[in-house]
Amino acid sequence: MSHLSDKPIVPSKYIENMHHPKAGAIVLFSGESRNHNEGKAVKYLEYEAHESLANKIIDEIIESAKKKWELHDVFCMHRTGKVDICESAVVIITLSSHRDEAYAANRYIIDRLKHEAPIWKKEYFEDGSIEWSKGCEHEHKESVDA
Amino acid sequence: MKISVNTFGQLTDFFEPKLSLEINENAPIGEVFEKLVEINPQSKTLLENCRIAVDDNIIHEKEFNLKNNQEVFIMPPFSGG
Repeated sequence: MSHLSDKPIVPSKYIENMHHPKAGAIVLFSGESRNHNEGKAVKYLEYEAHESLANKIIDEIIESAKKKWELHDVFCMHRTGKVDICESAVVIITLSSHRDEAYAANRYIIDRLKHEAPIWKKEYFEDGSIEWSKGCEHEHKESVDA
Repeated sequence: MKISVNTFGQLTDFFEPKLSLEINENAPIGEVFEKLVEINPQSKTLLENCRIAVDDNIIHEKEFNLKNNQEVFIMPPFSGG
């Protein structure tokens, strides 16, 4: 399935169908577009992605999480395009028998996604300025020297 | 030979999102970087911290040899989430 959407993602819509008879815990993380960053007022965000590679990498991250913890289901969706303030940029839902696994797996997925999925955020500020987010520096060993 | 290059994020401040480059037959990825630095020397620092993908695979070696018409993706630090 695709993990990217150019339409608004509504967390409550996704969690509605994310129940499992073996799951005693469901953790939902929603990374939301906030109205400030480093002291500047943010108007809205815009995301772009290398879509096929981002999907492949998010699949790999989810598979890796499933190997580390006993998860009954996992959902991950990231926005592309314009994301208004208070909208979700990313939603991750993890289901497990107990809360420890659901919390840990959820944190693991968002942390790896931020560092490894080819997705880029552009910030549009209230003062009219526009900046690409600097994001996570690639590990030096994994970058190619120019 | 000709290859197409896709740039993303901050790199699009230096280059068009899609560009076509003429490089030597079976040239290594490193040659693409050299060409891009030639086109826009100010991009050098950012390029040094970019990852590269070819056909949905991240390439770690700058000696990786490219083929004619191959599509190369040059990716600055990610900022999803």
